[in-house]
Order: sequence, then structure tokens, then C-alpha cells
Amino acid sequence: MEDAQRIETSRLSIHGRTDDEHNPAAVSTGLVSTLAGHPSPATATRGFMSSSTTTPAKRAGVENSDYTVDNKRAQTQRRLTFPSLPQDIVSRITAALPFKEAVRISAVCSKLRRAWTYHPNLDLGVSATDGSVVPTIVRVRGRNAKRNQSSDRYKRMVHARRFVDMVNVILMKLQHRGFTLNRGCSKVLVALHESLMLKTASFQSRVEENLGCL
Amino acid sequence: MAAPESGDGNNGAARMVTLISSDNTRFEVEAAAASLSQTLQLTILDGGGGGGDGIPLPNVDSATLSKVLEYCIKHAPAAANGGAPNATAVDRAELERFDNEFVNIDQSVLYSLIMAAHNLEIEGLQSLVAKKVADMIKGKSPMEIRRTLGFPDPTPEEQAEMNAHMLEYGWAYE
Repeated sequence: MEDAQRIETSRLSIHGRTDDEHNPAAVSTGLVSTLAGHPSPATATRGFMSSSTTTPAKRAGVENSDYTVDNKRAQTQRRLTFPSLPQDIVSRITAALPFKEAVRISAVCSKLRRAWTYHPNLDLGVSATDGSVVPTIVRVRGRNAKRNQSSDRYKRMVHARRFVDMVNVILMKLQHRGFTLNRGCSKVLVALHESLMLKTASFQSRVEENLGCL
Repeated sequence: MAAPESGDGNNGAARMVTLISSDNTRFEVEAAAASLSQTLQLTILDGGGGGGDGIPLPNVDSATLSKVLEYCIKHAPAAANGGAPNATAVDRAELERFDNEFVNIDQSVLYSLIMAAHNLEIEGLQSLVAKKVADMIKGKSPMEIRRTLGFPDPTPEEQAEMNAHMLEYGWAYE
């Protein structure tokens, strides 16, 4: 379908900005494709085994410069540290974390900065999924929402606003990765946005850009 | 999967293959166990690794390879069943117990394992180690994560970056 096609295109447009020296060819496929979460294994196959599997005649023990280099590398791998892991393995580890924790870990160092964008499941927390946001929004649409700032209603509105801010940041970051929303998600987000009457132009345009049309 | 059955159809004994680590140690294992690795499975299906010829694995040292094979041998029977329902609850509990103990090891060994599992494409082992490392990180502050994972103490710039990140992603810290 059209959505699938767009997601496919977005995969192709991912640029390997997060690649590192260990792993120049690896572009993880752990791409987030819908807000509802869409597990996609981050497997990037590279030429690790190619020399050994395709040419079984090249046996171990043969004095061969390639082999010596490989051997040296294997020795230094003995004491591997987390920072020396290639990006796709790091992404795999962060994918095993709950979404918010995966985002949190990107504070740790620049190498982990974008690791969370490979997370297979955009779990935005309870407020996004248990349906409580929608009735909340309907209620805060009424007049005098600000009259009593300590009211439950006001608190919920602040909460909903922050939810929108969060989605906004996520969309912005994911867009760098060639991420697109599927149509259903975008509709929900735009509806959410409109009912909040938050004229955050950047948010709306972001969703529209992602969707193409509504 | 067809792989485990295909090798040993002609005689009773299970087909064996030889793997050679980067430091030239030879490991003889059942083809069914080695076939947990997608990469090795292809070679084995092509008839490689038998007899005098071994399959060289120049990126895996013998310590790591023996650990990897320990996992493969333990998991091969379950994989051969293809997750069929005839695996009893006892079997599954036993595998789980094995897995928990298996990853109860030094961090650097964990990283060697996940590198090897990644390169050999052993899906189960990759997830197992990834989950273990994730569990080590879970519920910690960025500073604690740095210490846990063996990062050096942050420079003032890095510290500033961390603070900026925590501001930008405030919602992730609630």
C-alpha cells in the first residue's frame, strides 16, 4: 500500500551518520515505522565470514598477512568495553530497554546520542495508550481552562501539552532518520493537536510533512 | 528448519563439523549445534567444515568460541524442535536457568560474546546478551550508566552536554 511504500523509501534514505570506525558499512534496519510499535530486528549482515566461508581452502594456520591482522584484532578484542562496540550492537542493547530508558541512555555519550532512534517500539507511556488523553482534551476545550490553575482539569491540560511537546521532539529527531508516520498515527496526532488548540506550527507542519497529505 | 536433519540422514551418528578459532584451536561440534549460527549453517549446508577441513573463524578467539558453543550445544535440541509444543515446561525452565547462569559473567566477556553472536548471526545469543546488558543499565541515571559501562568520568563539556540532554528530553526522566 501507499504507506508501506513510503516507509520503504524512508529506509533507503537513511544515511549512516551514526556509523563508527568499526562498522563503516552498517546501517541498522531497526527502523521505527509506526507509533504503535513495530518490531524490526536490527540485523546488519556484513562480510565477517566471507573470507572463511566462501574460500574454505584458506585454512587457519596458513601464513597469510590477512590472517595475522585478523588474529591481532582478535587478541585486542579480548578486553572489549562498551564504548568499543559497533553501533548496531549498541542499538540492539538499547532496543532491549523500555523506550524512555533508551532515550535516557543517549545522554551518556555522543556515541549513544541517536541509539534510541533505532528503538523498535515507540512507547510513549501510559497517557498515550490508555485513552485518558482524549477525554482529558475534550474537557479542557471548554472555556476558562485557566481560571483555576490548581484544578485537576488544568493539570491534565499541562500534562497533555507536555505529551505533545514530547511527540514533537521525537518526530523532529526521527525525521533526521528518514522516519515517516503511517496515516493512522498522523491522523490521531493531528486530531490530538487540533483538539488541544495548541498552535505549535512546527508540530503541525512536522506531522503534515511526514504524512504528505491528510 | 531443515538444517539439523539434513546432515546426518545417511548414518546413525550425528554429523560433526570442525571450527577453528582465531588462535588456531580446533573445536569439533555437532552440525546441528553449529547450525544455530545462520552464517555457519550456510557453510554446513554447502558441505563445509567436515573431515579434515575446518571452518576458520578469524574473528573469534578460543575462549569466546568455547562459550558460544556451550550455548549452541545447550540450545540445539530446542532449536531442532523448531519451538514445537513437545518441549516440556521443565525443559524450558531448565534452559532459562542455564541462560541466566550463562550470562552471569564479566562485562568484557559479554561484549566478546555479543560481537561473536552478531558476526555468526546467532539470534538467540544476541538477544540474551543484549537483554543482560540492558538489565545492567536499567533504572540508572546517566552518570551511573557511565560508571557501570566503564566510561571515564565526563569532561566538563560532556557534563554540560549531559545536562542539556536532560533538559531537552525532560519527559524521559519522569
